[in-house]
Amino acid sequence: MSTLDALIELQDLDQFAEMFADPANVSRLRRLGYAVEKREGLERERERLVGSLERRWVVLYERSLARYGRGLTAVRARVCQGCFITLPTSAAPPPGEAMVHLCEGCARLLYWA
Amino acid sequence: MAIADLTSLPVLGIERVELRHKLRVSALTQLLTAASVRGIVRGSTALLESVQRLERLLPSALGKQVAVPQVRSIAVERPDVIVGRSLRGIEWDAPGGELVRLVVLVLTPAGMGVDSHLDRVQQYAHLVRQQRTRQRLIEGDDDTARAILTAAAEGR
Repeated sequence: MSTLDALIELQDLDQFAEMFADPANVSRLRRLGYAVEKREGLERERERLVGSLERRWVVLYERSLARYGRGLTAVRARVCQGCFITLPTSAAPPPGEAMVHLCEGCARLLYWA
Repeated sequence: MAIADLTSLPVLGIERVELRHKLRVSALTQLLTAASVRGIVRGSTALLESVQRLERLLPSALGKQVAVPQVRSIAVERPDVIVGRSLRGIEWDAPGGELVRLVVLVLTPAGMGVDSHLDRVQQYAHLVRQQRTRQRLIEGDDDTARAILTAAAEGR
């Protein structure tokens, strides 16, 4: 698994956990017919994902998460969607590829595709 | 001339996908590939892993041969749904071992809030809970399915 894929999965899992943190959301899902009882494995899944990443990425991700409420932020048209600074062309990934980047404006961890 | 040409264009995101395989992972792969082709998601590898993980944590089979998997992810470009039907049925770990014949994959970008995401999940869960709509999505022709999904997308 690539670093970028692991970070995306970690962010998806954290967003899922955010949804489950509110009992109102849980009861809403239950009313729709979802089997909400299986969610105990959430912490274990997170530990496994964190364990698959190099420590430096985990530190950067957790720092972004703690500071901005989101571990990974998107880049659209070379603009960081967190602080809206325009990123240098030279740092852009090759066309059709994606990469992880550190925003020089706000130090957010960026998903640049 | 122009009107006839334009109306014959396929409307992205509301075409029903014919699910050919019997396994859940294959069905999800097919749906995410369709989403990637339609430009709804960027890459589908990490997203497939995420959707499968969420399936383990929150099984999406809602009964009545329907599953509504959902994900809110940075890899999703715009809010959309991908609907697939299986004429043979898919093994989905549903209560009672029931096969799933209709799958509605709800995709929401990470930037949208939890409430908006759940509103969308609820909208489509309610849509496929109606027996007549469900039957038409499973057994109806492509035009019927497209009409239902267009109406749902427009909030009618």
